Amino acid sequence: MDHTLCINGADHSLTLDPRDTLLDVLRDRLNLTGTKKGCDHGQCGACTVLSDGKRILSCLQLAATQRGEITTIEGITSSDGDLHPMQVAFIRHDALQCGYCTPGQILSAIACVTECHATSEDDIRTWMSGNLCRCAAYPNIRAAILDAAST
Amino acid sequence: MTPFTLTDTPSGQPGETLLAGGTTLIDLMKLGTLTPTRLIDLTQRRDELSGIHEDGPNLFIGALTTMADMADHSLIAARYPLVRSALLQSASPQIRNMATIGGNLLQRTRCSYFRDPASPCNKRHPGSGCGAMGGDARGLAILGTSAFCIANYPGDLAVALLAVDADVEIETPAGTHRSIPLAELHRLPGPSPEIETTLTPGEIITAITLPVGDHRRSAYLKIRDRASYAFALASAAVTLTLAPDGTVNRCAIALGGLATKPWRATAAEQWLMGRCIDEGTALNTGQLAVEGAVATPDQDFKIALGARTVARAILNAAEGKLEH
Repeated sequence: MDHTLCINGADHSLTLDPRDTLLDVLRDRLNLTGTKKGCDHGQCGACTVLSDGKRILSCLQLAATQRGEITTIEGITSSDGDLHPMQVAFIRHDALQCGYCTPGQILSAIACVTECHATSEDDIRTWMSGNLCRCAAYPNIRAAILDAAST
Repeated sequence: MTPFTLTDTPSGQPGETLLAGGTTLIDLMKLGTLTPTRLIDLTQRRDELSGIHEDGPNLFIGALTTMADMADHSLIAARYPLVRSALLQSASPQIRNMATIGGNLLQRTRCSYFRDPASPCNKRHPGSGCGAMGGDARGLAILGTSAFCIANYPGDLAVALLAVDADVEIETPAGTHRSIPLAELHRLPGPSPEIETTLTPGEIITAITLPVGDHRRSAYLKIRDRASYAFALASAAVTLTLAPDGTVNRCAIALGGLATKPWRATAAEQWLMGRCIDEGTALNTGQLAVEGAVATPDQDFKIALGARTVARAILNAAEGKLEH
């Protein structure tokens, strides 16, 4: 079936199998491999992207029913190529080790701040609970988000 | 996933299922647990079937409203704080942005034998047996079970909605409408655990309605292995009002995690009526709420856990504390 996806401000007209998930289309068809497949079952958050600014799990989203504008990790740098303040904060606070959960963490964190759910460490603990990190970078991730939220 | 046609027109044929947020359905289709051949894309009707508005003194919630939007709504926070609390203790922010109220009510069990297509499961494949009996039943039901199935209903929202006497609005394939109390939506497994609700094929939940009520003393307490992003081992929704002399003159108690469907503890409610709340009466109420529980050795701890969860929720509600 034919469907148009708007990804990082650009329209992509695609012929899709109804079974194609947004995650697989981003990675395999559009070569936007920044979004990661961690569990593919909606349990880890590594596949988090923004749909009309709201954080969703791209592994559970059928591409053919996706209607909102998608923002991926590739789409948050400025047009001048400057890193997003959340990316700067993650680097400053060493909020990653292997980096696999990191794109999902960053997009989830950007939405968390927009939602005004990053006002305290406890708040961040609760509102970032959909993003797992097996390297346990959590304390530094929280510090990065608190930092970015305050600027 | 096995192949399917995606469409917006129901045909009423077998093998057809509804797609809303997809957070349960797509997960189970990827496992091969569910293999529908036609998906009806309900999101095409999002504008028509989502939104929250007052309906006289009652509150009307469109079934395609997301969990996040319902939790964030000022009237839910003001009038039904235990429902907001249940929503915010469910799933994750990402899932709540996708998942709908109607879909959430109809979520499937997390029983690993149901989810695994290679396991015997009378719910997924009638007559094939039950892998949970004699297997790992720790997270499964101790109330409402049958010889055919011990799978528990895992959701939180339905439990809180049960305690506030919600109704479910249903659209039939013929386009007519009917309304039932939420208490009549889910079925006990009995000899046919594959039939989970009283909905007939092709029926769609279009909305829930919440009757006006005093929920200033209410709580939704969820006890689980992790502090977040985990299903309930035991949960309790409590809402009550006190007479001037401090005795309970209205109460509703519903259990989650422990039963095969959202569970109203009516005998426990009746006992608590007219009594003052203290640790003793709260615990006695809790014990009545789990009376009749049938537990395997690895489930045994949940009888006391369930009783204490109800007790703590009653104490929290009486104080006006929403959670723990």
